Amino acid sequence: MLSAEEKHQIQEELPHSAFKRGASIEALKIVQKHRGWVSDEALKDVAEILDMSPAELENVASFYTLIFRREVGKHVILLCDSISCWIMGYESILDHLKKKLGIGLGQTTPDKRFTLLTIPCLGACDHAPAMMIDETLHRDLTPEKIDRILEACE
Amino acid sequence: MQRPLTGHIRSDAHPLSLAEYEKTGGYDALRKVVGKITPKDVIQEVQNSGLRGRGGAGFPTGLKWTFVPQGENAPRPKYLAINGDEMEPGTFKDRLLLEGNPHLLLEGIILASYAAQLDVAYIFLRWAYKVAFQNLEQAIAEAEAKGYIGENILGSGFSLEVGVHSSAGRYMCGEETGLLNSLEGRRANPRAKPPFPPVVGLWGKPTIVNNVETLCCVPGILSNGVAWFKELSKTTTGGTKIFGVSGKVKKPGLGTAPRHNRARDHRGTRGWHARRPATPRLPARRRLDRLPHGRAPGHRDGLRHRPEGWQPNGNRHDDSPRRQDLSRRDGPQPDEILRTGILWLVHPLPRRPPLDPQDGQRHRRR
Repeated sequence: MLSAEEKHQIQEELPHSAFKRGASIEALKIVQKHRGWVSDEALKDVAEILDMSPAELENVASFYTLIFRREVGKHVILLCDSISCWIMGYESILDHLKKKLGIGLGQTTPDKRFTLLTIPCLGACDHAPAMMIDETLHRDLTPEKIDRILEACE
Repeated sequence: MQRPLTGHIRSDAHPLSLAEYEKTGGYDALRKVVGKITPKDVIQEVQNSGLRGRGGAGFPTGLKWTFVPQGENAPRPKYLAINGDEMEPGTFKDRLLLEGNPHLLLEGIILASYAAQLDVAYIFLRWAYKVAFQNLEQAIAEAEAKGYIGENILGSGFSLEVGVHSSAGRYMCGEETGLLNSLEGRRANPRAKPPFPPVVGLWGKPTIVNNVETLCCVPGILSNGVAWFKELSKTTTGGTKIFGVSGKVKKPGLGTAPRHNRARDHRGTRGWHARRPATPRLPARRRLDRLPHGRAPGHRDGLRHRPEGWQPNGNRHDDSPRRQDLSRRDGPQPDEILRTGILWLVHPLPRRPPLDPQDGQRHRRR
């Protein structure tokens, strides 16, 4: 079941679009903001509000990289693996993150704090390598900087 | 050298407020144009300036605006979709404009909407541009309070609604029809053309899709005139181009250049030595092929009308043989690329010899 808050926020998005389905991506993002990811049940509820079939909405949800349809950790680390970051040492940064967190790409730490994913380009190529944790962009990464950033995440 | 788009952007990463923007001559074009010059004349002015799309294809912007059906029987509402998706790796030019001077874009949006008589504008942002999102929302609120956006702008009878949409992250959203599908809450698969978006676009209504940088050029053209814009570069189409340099260079970042500049013109400036691994990334990826030789013009005129339709201007169709070599098993290895630089990673591909008319075989040239 969606919370009253979630429903309210989704309803607020509806008038911005000519048809209800136009708000589908916003609606999925709202649910994800509250729960961290979009479960099957939540998806069905959202589909009902938008007058879409769950299959239709799933079609949209599974297309976009940043709509998570599987449970993720409290913080999602999106590490850029695109060309400029790669040139500037993405691989060593990734190794450091893997070692530090003890997980591989696409995995979540046992304490459900971090999920490690890659992303093709964050638009911060002039400050590569870059990663994004939740909504915060971290640039010019070094292993030491990563240690500090991870410690700051509760 | 003039930097009409980025010249006023502050170095402390704060966006220009509405008051600061107006001090730099901002919204002058809006006051000069909206309600005082007919939309048709505005389009003509933009067409005269030779402004071409800055998203990569280089379609003439004014011409695109003329495709929107006008008159009482035209379908309403008509939309403007602003492409700020910018998902191409190595591209971050729009980020500077969006974060640094959101009002410049807004003024461009209002002018474009007035010229093509559009009712609703959606700014489609790359999901990672959180700061740009906030700055834009704030700028829109400021402009609304001042009466530049909303009902009956400056008493002209023209109304416009502007909204911001943040993407959920998919490269394909940057393609104009894919972007429209995404705004409709669908997968961002490109649509078959024709019909083209100016006639059948968002929700089946006429829709103009313009790049952020393109619209940022519009206020300058209308306040300073066509001659000024044309003088910014030696090409036939006028204006400047923002380009990004990143990778192993001394000073990665963005720069503005006249459109006639070539890659070699930038070599050595700001530490951008093209013989280092750098990815000078002008939006069209085919440009990458030619950059090392310094022959590539900064930006060609873009699409040109030919008997077979709109075609890339003077480019070969064997798009990027260098890129294919990345996956070749005997091709350069990653460490080799790092050492030699991404631009130099490939030995020239042997050119395919022509068919011999006598025996139908391909013979190597002696």
